[in-house]
Amino acid sequence: MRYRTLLYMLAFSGKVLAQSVPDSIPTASMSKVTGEELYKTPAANITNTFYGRLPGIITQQASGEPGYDNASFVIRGIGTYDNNDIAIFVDGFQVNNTYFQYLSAVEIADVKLYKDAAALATFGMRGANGVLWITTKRGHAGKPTVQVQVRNGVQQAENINKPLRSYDYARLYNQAVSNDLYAVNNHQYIYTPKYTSTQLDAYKNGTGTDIDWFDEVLKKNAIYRDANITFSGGDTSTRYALIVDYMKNQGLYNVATNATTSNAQIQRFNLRANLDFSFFKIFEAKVDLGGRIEDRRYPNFNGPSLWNNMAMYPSNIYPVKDESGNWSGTTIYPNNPVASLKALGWASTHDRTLQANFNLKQKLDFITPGLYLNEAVSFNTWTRNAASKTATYARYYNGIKTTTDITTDIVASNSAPSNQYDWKQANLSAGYDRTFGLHAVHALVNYFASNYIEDWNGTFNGSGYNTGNNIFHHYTNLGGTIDYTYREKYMLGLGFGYSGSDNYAPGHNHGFYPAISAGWIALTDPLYLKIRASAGKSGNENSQQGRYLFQQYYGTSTAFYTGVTSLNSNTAVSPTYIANPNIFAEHSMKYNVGFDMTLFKKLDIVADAYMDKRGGIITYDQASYAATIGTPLMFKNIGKMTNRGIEFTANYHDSWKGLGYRVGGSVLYHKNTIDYKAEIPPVNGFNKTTGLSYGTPMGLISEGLYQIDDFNADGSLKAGQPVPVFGAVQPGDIKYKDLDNSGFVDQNDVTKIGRPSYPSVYYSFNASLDYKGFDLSVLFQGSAGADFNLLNASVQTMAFVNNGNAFPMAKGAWAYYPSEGIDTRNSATYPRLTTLANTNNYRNSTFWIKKNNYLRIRNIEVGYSLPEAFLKRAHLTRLRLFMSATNPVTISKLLRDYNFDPETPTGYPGLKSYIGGLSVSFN
Amino acid sequence: MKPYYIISMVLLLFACQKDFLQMPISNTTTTDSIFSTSIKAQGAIANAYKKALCQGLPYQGNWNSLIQDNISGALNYGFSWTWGYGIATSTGLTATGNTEDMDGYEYNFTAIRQAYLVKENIDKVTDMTDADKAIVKAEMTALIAYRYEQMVIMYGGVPIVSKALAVTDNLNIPRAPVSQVMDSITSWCDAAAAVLPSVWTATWTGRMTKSAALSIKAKALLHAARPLFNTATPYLDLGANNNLICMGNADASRWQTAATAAEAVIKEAEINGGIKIINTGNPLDDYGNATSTPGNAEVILAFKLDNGGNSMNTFYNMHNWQAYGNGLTTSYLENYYKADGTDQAWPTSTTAFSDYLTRMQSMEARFKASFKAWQIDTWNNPNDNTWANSNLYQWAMNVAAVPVKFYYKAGTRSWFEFPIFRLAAYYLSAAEAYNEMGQSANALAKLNVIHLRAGLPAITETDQAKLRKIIQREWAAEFFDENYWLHDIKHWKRDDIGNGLIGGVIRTLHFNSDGGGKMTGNTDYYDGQLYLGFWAPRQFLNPFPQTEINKGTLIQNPGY
Repeated sequence: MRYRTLLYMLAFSGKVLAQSVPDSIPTASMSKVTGEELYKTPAANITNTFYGRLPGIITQQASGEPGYDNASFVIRGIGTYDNNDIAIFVDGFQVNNTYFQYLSAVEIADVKLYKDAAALATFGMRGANGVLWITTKRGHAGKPTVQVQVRNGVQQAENINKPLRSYDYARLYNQAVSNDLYAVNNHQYIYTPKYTSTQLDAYKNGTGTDIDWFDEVLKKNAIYRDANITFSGGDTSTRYALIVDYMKNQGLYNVATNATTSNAQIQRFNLRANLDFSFFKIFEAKVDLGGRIEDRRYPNFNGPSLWNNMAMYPSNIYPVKDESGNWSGTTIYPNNPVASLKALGWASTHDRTLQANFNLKQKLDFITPGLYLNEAVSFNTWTRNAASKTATYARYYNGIKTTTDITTDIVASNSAPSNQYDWKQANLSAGYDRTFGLHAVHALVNYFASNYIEDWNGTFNGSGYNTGNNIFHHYTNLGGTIDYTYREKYMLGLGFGYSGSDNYAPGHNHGFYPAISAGWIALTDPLYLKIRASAGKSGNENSQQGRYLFQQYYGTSTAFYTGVTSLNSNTAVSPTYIANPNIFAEHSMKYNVGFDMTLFKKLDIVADAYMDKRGGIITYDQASYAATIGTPLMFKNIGKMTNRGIEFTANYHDSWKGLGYRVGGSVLYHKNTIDYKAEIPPVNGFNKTTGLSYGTPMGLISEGLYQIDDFNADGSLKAGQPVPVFGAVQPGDIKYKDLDNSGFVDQNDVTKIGRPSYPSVYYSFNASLDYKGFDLSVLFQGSAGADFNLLNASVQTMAFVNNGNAFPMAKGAWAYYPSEGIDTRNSATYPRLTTLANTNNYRNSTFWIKKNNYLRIRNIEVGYSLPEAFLKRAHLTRLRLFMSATNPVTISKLLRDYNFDPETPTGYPGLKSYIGGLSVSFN
Repeated sequence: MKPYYIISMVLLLFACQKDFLQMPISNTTTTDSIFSTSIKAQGAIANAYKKALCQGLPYQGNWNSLIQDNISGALNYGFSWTWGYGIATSTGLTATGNTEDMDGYEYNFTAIRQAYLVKENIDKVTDMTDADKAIVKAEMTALIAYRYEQMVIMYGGVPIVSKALAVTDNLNIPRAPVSQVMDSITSWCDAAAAVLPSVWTATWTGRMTKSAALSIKAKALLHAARPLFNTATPYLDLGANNNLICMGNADASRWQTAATAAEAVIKEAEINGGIKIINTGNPLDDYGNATSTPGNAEVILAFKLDNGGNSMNTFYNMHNWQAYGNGLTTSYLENYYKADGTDQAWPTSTTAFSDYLTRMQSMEARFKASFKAWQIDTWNNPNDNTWANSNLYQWAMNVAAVPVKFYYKAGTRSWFEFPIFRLAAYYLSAAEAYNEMGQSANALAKLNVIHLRAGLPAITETDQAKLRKIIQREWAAEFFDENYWLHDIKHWKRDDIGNGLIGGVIRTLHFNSDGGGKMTGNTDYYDGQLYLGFWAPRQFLNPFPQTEINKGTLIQNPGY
């Protein structure tokens, strides 16, 4: 029986093989949300159902454009200034975001979030940023069940930030052009309007051109619709879950979807078949097929550009169509937003995705009780085809053609492949679960191999050299965990990952990541209290600096020419960064302490404090080498960051006279510091960004606006004031502090001017009631500790620059034209207007930094489940009707003061939705 | 049975894991392949040339000015957003951004490294003769010498790098004394000149020749002899490190060395190099061709760049609005003679515009080949509508004229070849050296070759101080916009540098009651202040960037 000894050793020593993750690690920090919970938020993209539902994850909403509405995730804050992408696994196999984002909530049984070292150790080199572990629904032995769910409703923009209309635009433009003549007019403000009072009157009384581009392009409500059917059931030997899901989500564009035009739209068709078979006593097999078709259609004009144009094109430039009935357009404003929707045709993509998994488990209790082996493979593939029907249109202004564009008939293009990936993975594991008297042992070792092939613009092949289509990414990991429990009270966990990646030089491409954890159930009843602690190492091999940094590459640079009369171009080739043979994955040391508490089985509290010390962050080492080396420098594992935080979650549920209620909340606070990033010491200590949080905005300290008496008659600044070096200044420009007293305001006066754009506090709270079949639930989510730099919304903030528009904040501009009754010298909240790219005013400074805290109601749901008596007569097991509102209310100072949504300030806005639905089950 | 099978599968997987984690193959060039064949090595050679010869030129298009003449008082400072503005008017050169060396100090070593890489690896090429390899090595040596010659003029002593450094080498190389840099340049140039060909075939014209290598040496030695370096007491005291910013002693014999080096260029270029001073008796045509015509017989080495006409010429070609920031000042205009050899006077009080037209029309040929005056069709592209007054006008402004140099009879050609070394420079170098040695006859002989070609009457002045002024003025009139003037006036230590050259009142012509010159219908003009220039003695040499100083090895030039 030598093999028994071997397997026994293998399972126990932890030295040999090992990745699957056990269903639960008693000493680890993780959180969980069910697919049912996620389904409560009707959203096209699964990432938009996570807000406030999964403690530990910070979800930030992005564009609401159908098909491109992915929210961003970070786990427990920012751990590294390199790549923060989390690892996502579905049914034990890694997937990318493309696959994850359009899973249907109905397919999901639950989603677990692995946060600490104890939970992440076995993920080795892919664990450092945290892991999202998704399990899909499986069938259970019992009567066949059918569930049908239908939802239908509308979506609206959370907020539309509209510019000023023609009258205000023209009135302020007059100030801006007059201001720009200050130097020419011998340093005086002389009113020199572009728009006459007759023109202004026409704008005011509605006879002048005054187009609200947002109204012309958008409609108020967009369609959202989804429907699904789940069949499940089985017996002890065969079980099945079959899910069919359809979703349609349209955009806010006011245009028909037909042969020649199209609204933005995505339709998703999901099909999942999860099958379980048991046979010959020792075998358990699983076959999981998760397939999906995504059909997207859009107007044939770039979505972000369209939103940019709606904001940037002033109201008075031209009517939508001129008198001759042709589309308006000029060389400065060529892309009439309405024509962009209606005259260019449409473009579509067609995506096909399939994740097919096969899993075989052998229960080897006949060798030794509790021992099992498991082998699994996964094939995951995605392709995208693109097709379009396009046309062009001629631009006219007052009956005259303004550009060389001509109106053409609509032309259909072939459907052509545009992107793809292919991911093959294999998983071999051996496990051992057994209780001997007072001792309980769970052990699992696992070998994981992954071959990922994607096109040049994919996640892994997007940066650095040696990129190209079909470049593979190979990765292996041997992981293991052993949990030991004594008297159901004392727990000890050991885990490790031993990972290898082809990103690094042969002979130097493996890393070992151990972790240790312990738990103690101090109390059981009525107060249950478990105290946990863990420490361990994990890695992050997915660097934004590119792969193969150990290899010396040459890149092409601009050519050198020789010859006499006609020159020959000689392509020049020059060395890139210096190869670093020792380059390796960044590593993370994570420490976590926490407790789980339950009081009277009604109140649950989970609290954790954590620290993540990153080291070896791949960093371009500009600090170590003198210029004499004369080459792009080396990437090294030298960056360091520390991220600390606390998490607290509490839930209480009870009932009173048939009224069930539930309240809960969760809060996460985190703060990170860049400890080292090879920053060259700047001139002044306060210029340094090392020691600050990642993404801390740097800029000048604003001291308000220059006034007329700050200047001499010749336009120069009066003596004693520091001189800004960004171009000539005049009254109404922003005045900055000369922090180093050099006499000049320059880049050496730059310092920390605010907080990063991501929140340091992320919280949510919820409440629900149920009474006699009625149920009501509400979910709030908010964040605090972030700042917004208004200059990031340059179209909205920088009035008139680049022929742009003006937004309401420009009304607060500094201006002094007493002859016109204009004098805002003392009340100004915005610098003097200009039509030029003013490098003094539009520069990062405290002037433009605003607090960005918000609180949203993420979801309200009201439902009614029909009584059992009625259901029985109708041969149903469940019938529930419900209505929900998503993101109906937002409280934010940024929104109130500047009309910027806190999460989607520009571009296609985030969405709110009002949905009604029905859920029926029978068997 | 089953477990055996699985275990062996696992072990098998481990066995092949070594191959499984191999890097995938792509078509990106690596070290192994770059020096395998001469065709491939040409890429590395081309890169060495481009990186070395682009020094001081706005070849990238993202440079936003003609920096040298924007800050030398010759041209307006550009726009309020261009680099020259702050340097010329308020802060001067600084260690933290306002720099003349716009590719960055570090880039000098990028160019030098590339040349060393080629030099050290060319022997690996399998299909090249030893003689050709020796020439490539000599070319690389000359490129290194060129970059050092340009650097020493700007910075004084700089670190001398003698090979392509590895990260394991000691990179903390201190600045070498000026004299040591000069000696290195001399020996590199001598070694290269001994091997380089005198001419290349037409295809490869533009590569280093014997006369180009000698030109580098002559330019360096001229600066070693000029007052800024040729002294024991530098412009500002750097204590024990004074030898980093001057030669360490005053030695009149350096003028003899400079004269000899200039004569050597002239001899080699004219006898073996097929190079000559173009003089057919038509001054506008001769000077125009010598500065503008691609591949002309007067240019020893040019920076050839035909980049689709969109980057290098952005700030040179007046058809681009960006170039319109570079208008001529009266301060520089006064260096030009009238066609009859006398001086032109510009009125300081308001005068009728017709007077401007008359005075402009009477200017010497070199002026007319280099500038376009208000309301007059460009002289250097006669009868060419592309260059007509109406086609070059962008907006009204107060400058004496706008530059059109390098575009003599260019028609629609937007690119041009920047003349790095033109034979005329060595006639003037020799003239300057002979005059300092007190040999006025020799000086006049050399000077008049250039002066007569310009269609002007011969110079006969023999007083050393007066002749010095005349020779300096000749440098200005002959070499406008060829990246000489800014460093010439510093190395001459001109006593008016802070009073009308770089600092002090910089003048221009003002038009139409200060409204600016218009395309047509101008009424009046006068000569008056354009801006008040900034000058501080620290600016005789450039600052090293603060980021490099902060790394702890370099000694900063005084005053920064």
